[in-house]
Amino acid sequence: MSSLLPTTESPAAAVSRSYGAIVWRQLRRRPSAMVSLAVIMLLALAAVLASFIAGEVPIRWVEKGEVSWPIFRYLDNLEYAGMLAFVLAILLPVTIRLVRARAERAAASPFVRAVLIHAAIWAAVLLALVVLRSPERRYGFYLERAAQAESAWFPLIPTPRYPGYDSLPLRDQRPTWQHPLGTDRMGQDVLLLILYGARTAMTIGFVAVGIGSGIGVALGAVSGYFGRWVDLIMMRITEVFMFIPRIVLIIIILAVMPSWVPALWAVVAVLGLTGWTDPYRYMRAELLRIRGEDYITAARALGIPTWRLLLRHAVPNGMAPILVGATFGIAGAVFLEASLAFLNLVQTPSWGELLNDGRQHLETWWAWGAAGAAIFITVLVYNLLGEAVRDAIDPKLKI
Amino acid sequence: MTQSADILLSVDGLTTRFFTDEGVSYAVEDVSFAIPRSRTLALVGESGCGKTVTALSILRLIPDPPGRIVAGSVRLGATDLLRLPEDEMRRVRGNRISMVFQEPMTSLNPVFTIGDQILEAVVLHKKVGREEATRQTVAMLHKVGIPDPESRIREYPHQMSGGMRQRVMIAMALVCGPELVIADEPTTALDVTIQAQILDLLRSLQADIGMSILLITHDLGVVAEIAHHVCVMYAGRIVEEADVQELFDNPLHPYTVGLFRSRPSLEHRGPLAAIPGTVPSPLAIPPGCPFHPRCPLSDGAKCAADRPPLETHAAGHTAACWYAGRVAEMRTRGEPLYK
Repeated sequence: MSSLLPTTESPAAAVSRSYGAIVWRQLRRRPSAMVSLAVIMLLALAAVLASFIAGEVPIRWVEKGEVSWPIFRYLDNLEYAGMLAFVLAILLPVTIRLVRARAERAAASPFVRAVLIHAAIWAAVLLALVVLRSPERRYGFYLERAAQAESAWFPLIPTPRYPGYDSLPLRDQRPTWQHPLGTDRMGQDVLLLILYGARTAMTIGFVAVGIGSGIGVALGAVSGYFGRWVDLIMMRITEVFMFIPRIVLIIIILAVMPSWVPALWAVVAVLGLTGWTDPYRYMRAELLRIRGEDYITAARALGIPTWRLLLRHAVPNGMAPILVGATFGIAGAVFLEASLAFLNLVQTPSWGELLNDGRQHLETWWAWGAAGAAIFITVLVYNLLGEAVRDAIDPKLKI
Repeated sequence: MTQSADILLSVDGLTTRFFTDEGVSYAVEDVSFAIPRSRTLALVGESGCGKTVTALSILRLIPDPPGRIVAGSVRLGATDLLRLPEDEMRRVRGNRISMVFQEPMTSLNPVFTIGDQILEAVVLHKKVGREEATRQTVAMLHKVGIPDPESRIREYPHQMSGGMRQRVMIAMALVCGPELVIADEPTTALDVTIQAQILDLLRSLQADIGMSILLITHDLGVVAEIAHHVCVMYAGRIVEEADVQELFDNPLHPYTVGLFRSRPSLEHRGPLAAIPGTVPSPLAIPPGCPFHPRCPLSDGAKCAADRPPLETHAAGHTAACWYAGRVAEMRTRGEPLYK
């Protein structure tokens, strides 16, 4: 059991090591996991900083001796929220350490507290942004006047971008230095589309899987812990949901959705609300096992109330399969979103949409090739990471 | 058994059955005993004789379904625990009655630090802040002999040895100052050297804190070590009950005699003696005296037909055997009961 811990440490000197820390150590030994994580970080970074990498709004602009930073006026509220989410996710380990140090002796699950703190910060900032700020939306303004500026720092790839953009002279260009991945049939820079597609894919992946896992964990915990008729009814309902074809359901919902709801949000919502069946079954199975464990009986013998027993004692012990499932789930969601966009159901810059364009314009291989590669790489790294997490958590590592 | 004023917990006619697909399992039938304050009562018997079910019934932790307490009362002071609403029962658990489990390796939650697990009970029952609860936790861990408890509370169960974990379990059971601790085979899973330490610890804590102990064990050595009073259980029933000295000197039930005979001893060389046969399944308990198919004194008629009641044979010494008198006679004549 403890043989996996380094034997060089004497028990007295052993550093207190949480479950998460042990899994992380296991994960760090796997090159595929580390490479996947690095690629995912890059993808996330590209998604978050897309406006700085490719676009038409300059970062710094000097005209008539007046210095301005236009991009910050143009950035969407959700882009700011995305950047903040990225920074907060990176800083999570720091907060965990702070919480643990501050709560003097033994903090109640520092991980959960840190996540809650960060979620609160994020929600507060997002709310403030939405209420207080309306971003500039004047397209095609700076690129045309670039000559009048004394100095202008454009994104790495200065390229026009706005809804309904169509530029005849720029259509279907092969990759050049100016457009590293060429342009598509509307004359849009493909790299720009890939970056914004990454944003779509990441949003769909994380948010849809987050919603699905949340619902699945809550329902599965109740179902598995209480068992009997509760479990019987919930399991039958779940079976019904499992047999609804998700793509068909999404097509129907998008058809009846009022037009003011962005299609992307509708897709995220539907994927989330139908994606809870797998986490539900994992958590249910885990709890059927956990509720018979000695430590649950021991906790009951200590007089711990039922809800607390469920939330604090049972659920954390069943999270491992959820984590693995979520990692694979993100890959699945990215793939599903690509399929939907391929069917032309979502009007949002997306890899699937690029692929669909390529169906009629096979000769613009740079466009559909880049999109296909992006989908392939994303799905691959999430699957590799999922496998590595599964190996790190499961059977070799017993706690 | 002793003066009723001193009685902390009295169990009366406790009957717990499991209603399974294969039929009704008579796990505990009509069990009665009483535990005085600051004393230790041992429940002794082979595996599967209903000791643990008795303990879980006292705390009302029998999994329902399939189990159900069908009759009896469990009185803690003046309150009958079996009639308490679940919410009030929850406040008894861990607070007034707590339990030490057999398996220290699996009875601690792997995702929490041991400090967290112990102080959760303190915060819950004593309504104190985390800081005060932490202080009490450290003090308790110190008391159960865990070195450097200030840093140990931040460790996870997998970082500790079995003996250390059992100490943690004991600290967890005692931290709220319960009146009764149920120790379910607290030393079975431990090395012999650690066993002695844990027994010493329980005994000195009892002298210090004054809680009563209900000790569940199959190990007569452990009984001799710390029990004041002993109940011998067989097939869900108590078959003999006496003070520890009396029981060891003068066992009256053939089953108790068999248990003593099957202990390893220094004088008696050769293979270990065993009681012939096996414990009957609680699904099919023999009629009459449940022990009669294995008993050397069984007459095959009365023993197989009528169940012997618990009868008093000496002050504070009861046994449920039609031939308890003959067991005593044979001992005075030096005749072996088992061939």
